[in-house]
Amino acid sequence: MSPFFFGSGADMSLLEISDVSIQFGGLRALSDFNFTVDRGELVGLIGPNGAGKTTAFNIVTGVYTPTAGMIRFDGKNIAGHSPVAVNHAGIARTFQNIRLFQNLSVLDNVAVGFHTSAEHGFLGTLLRSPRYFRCEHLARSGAMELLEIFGLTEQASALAGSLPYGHQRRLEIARALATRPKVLMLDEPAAGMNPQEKIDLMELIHSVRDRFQVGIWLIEHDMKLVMSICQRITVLDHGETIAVGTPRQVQDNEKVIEAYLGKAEV
Amino acid sequence: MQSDSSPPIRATWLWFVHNLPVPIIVIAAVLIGRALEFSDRPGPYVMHVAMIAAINVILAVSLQLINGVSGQFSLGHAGFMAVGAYLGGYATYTFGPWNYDPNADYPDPRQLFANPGGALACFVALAIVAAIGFGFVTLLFLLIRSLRRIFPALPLIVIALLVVWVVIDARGAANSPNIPPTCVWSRGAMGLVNLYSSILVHTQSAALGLSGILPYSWRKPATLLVAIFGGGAAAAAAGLVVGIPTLRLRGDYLAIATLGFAEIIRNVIVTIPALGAATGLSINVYWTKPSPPDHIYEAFYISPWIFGTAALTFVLVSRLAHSPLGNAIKTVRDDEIAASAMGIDPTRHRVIAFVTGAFLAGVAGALYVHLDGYLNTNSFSFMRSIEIVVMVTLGGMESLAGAAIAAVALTAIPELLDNAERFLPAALAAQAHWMSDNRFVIYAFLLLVIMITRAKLKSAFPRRKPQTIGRLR
Repeated sequence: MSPFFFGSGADMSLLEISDVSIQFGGLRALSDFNFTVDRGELVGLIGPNGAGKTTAFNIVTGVYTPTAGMIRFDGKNIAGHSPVAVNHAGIARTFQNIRLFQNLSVLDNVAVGFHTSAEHGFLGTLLRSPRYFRCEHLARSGAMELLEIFGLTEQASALAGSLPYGHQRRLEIARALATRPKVLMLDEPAAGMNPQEKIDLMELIHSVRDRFQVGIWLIEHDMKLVMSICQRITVLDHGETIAVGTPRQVQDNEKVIEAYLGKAEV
Repeated sequence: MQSDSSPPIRATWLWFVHNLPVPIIVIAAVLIGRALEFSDRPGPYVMHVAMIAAINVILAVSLQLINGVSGQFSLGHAGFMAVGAYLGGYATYTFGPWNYDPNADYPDPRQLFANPGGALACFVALAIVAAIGFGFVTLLFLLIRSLRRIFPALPLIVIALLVVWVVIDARGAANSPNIPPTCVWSRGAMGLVNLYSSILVHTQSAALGLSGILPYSWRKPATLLVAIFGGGAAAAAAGLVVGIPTLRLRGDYLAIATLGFAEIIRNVIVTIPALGAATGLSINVYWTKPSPPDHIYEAFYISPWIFGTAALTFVLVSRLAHSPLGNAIKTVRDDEIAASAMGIDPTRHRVIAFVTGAFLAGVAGALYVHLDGYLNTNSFSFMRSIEIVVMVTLGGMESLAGAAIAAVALTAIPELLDNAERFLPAALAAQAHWMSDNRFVIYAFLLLVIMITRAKLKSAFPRRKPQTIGRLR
């Protein structure tokens, strides 16, 4: 059964995390974590504060190297690869505390994701070669298209740092999509939004998934929201996986209620 | 939504239009330089100050690329300038002359700087020797680093022992007339030096042949071109060697590392007799001014080179800053973690900015030596670096035009103050002289004021609308 020996990768999920653990000194931040994301899937990872959700994201995107375990993406092991390599493989992410390029315009924030500078090179930039203009035009029109989907066209030339909070959150998702990922990881995309903004965002996430056929993996604090849009949910507490299943299964799980919902209801 | 791919003819047309300023700049620089350099109207003093100002523009703009655009803090710009100046000057001084007779009392000015092939051979030989030397050191380093698999502290111990060995080796070699065979490190270094000189000996006739292909009137410009590009390339190589290990450092630490590097360069130059050691390198720049009594040779105009290079530097660096590549560099400055999550390699982009800046500093140095004709390590001290940093800071972070204007102002103002008695009453002129003499006190004060009032200055001079990546349609 082991895909390591037999599988060509055809029957495997796009992103497959198996038995990943990480230890920081004496602290085991994540232990035996298993997760899969498939193309076009919308899956969630929840848990109380300090449960290890963002740590899981950081391991997959190459910020941390796991102490043990395997991360396969498209059939290749990407555990311990650099963040740059992970992104080139086809995984893009957003951050819990927004990390935009504050001093670049909204359009440039998205356009840098197209990596056009790699195509026309350093001399092409200095000499403004015809190829440079072609690449730049493609990046620019691609970025404008993304901004249109996310309703940011009017702010295209504003500085990213000057946008209102909700727009910054959306810009971060647009920017991640510019690298044309196969899996999009959203770290608390609705944090700090009001209920109406949250509903709009969830609709947007749905439409992004349908339009780009990406697998979306999101971390969210708001239980109601996750329950309403995710197909599968994994619940973490103190680095341990305490429940896996559909929203309904997870909702009824006693451990989850104890660790998470119980506290919330007090 | 516009169509996704523009027709190719449009991109070609844009290329043509965008590059039109380049020949215009070159022609304008030649015309202005030829009209002004030896004329009486602005006079040699004003022209000299203008050329120094143009060199400072190159330095300030290239430092702005490192400090402002890529967000690193380098204090070693004078070091890169020194590399370009000394190697550019050394190549043209030692290998530039055509059929140079070392026993003649006075070198024939017509032969000076007439051998571009010789200067080129010098740089090629230097590059070969440097590649062998650094290749060896890199291999050794990688080998030592792999020892940490055996025991984590082993590399450090081995490096410490190696340093002790090299020092003992060098002392042993210095104390005896012939290097004893036990001193393997010194022998190796001597081998590299011998390799360098034998490459030069064996390529000399080929170099002269190469120079001979060129028409006579092209030889001096070609020699200068070789010196400028060679000096720049040497500085860029130095930037790469310094940059790769130090660019992992942040903020203050990088500043200290680059400052240390600049001081190392200065102290190494002092020990090399071929570069004039502590006395300084003095090269014949007869060719820059025809000496009045005999006029036995034609004038060579240096100012078009300096003005043209300064203008081209400005154009090219602003192209770099306002391009997708420049934006990628800025993303690393703004947020390194987000940049790498977006697939932008932080180290690569930092190195691109740093090495480009070092190259341009080397170019400025090579121009400077051919303007002044005399080099001393004191010209490339810490204070010189600070002066460039002040220009960049005064110009405003990330503003290339600001840096260029500040460079011109900070070159012109001390000169004006020095000559204050021409347009000010004597009492005020004395104050002006005092200000010029103590300008570093004023610079320090200026830096303090700028840092404290930075936020207010920012709101007083709001940034223009951010540039989007290009002006297609």
